[in-house]
Amino acid sequence: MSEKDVKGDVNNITRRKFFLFFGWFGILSSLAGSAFGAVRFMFPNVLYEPSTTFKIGKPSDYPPNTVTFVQDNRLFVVRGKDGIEGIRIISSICTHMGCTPKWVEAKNQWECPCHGSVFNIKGEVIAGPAPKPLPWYKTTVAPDGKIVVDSKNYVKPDYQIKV
Amino acid sequence: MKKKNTIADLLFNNRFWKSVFRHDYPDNDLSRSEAMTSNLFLHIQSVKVHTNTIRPGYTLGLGLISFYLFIILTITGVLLMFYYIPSIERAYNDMKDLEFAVSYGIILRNLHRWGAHGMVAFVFFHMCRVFYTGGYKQPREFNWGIGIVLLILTLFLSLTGYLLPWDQLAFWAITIVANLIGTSPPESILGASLRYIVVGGREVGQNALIRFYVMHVIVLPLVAAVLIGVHFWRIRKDGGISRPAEE
Repeated sequence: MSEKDVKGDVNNITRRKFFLFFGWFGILSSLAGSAFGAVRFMFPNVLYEPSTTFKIGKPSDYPPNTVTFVQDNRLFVVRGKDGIEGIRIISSICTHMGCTPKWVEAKNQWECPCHGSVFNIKGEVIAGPAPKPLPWYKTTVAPDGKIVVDSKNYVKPDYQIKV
Repeated sequence: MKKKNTIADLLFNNRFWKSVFRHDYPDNDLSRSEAMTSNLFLHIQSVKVHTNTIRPGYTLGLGLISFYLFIILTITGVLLMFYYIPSIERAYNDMKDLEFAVSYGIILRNLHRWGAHGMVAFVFFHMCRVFYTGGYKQPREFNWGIGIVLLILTLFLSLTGYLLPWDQLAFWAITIVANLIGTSPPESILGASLRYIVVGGREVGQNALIRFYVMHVIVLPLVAAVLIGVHFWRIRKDGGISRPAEE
């Protein structure tokens, strides 16, 4: 570059500079486009996973004053505990690292085997590293009488379906 | 040191850049040769080549085009592997998902497909060019031989990839190829055994699919990559690209 080469002067754009600019522009923009496509490609649009809304049988399958583990859907069906008569559904996925806490009837609490988190009957953390309470799932009854669980929709601990 | 006032200065005139590229800006013979010799990828090419080597009309860039297609096929192939599962229940559906449900899946699949067809064509054209310019003659006979092996590897890669969509075309093509292999004489000993290990059984099924998949995604590309390296290295060792005798 010579001293006369003043920046920003349109008259100073030589043929070489012009092609240099468009060459790099072409290379970099095609690389950027390919990179964007490759990253977007990694986000699947269709999943072959179970639906987050599902049925778990009839209310009569769960006797009063029990906590029942439903392994396939990773949740507990709570009926008639904590002074609430109806059926409530709580997640069995520990909010710490995703293990499955075990219901301990004698202590009236959930205990996680992985890192020792303990949740009371309201789902609240009373010990261990879990950062958040276990969520309660929104629950309805389908026309065929079966319980429908929406595991993406959280509700308060006193949300229940009357039996 | 000069004041940093241009984008080029900011990009290139710093400690990081100079730790990667330890030579000066290549505007003189010495730093130009350093740019080649200090770079793993560029040093495949010698610092000085005969004018003939860089004459586009002589080689038509056919070998390099073949190599670029190999690179494109490697990149698109690795990406396709994230969605494709080599199971006879899922392979066809995964291929259809890549076409219709995955973002940019169809462009990657088509790049891979057309790139593969292109590579077969360009490797063949490259071979023709080398033949017509006498590039197979002494001292380049060995590199010609490697080239023949690379052509065969290209054809095998094309064949093994052809099975993977697991559609009717693929299934019957592999059935035919398996039976073709089965006719290798003596049929009752060699042919039967070859067919048995290629198909992984007596019928074309899951075993055949996984065998062709493993060959397609790792064994053949790995062998091809090594031989491509030797092929390039031998060009230099054999005195560069063939050229007419000096006048």
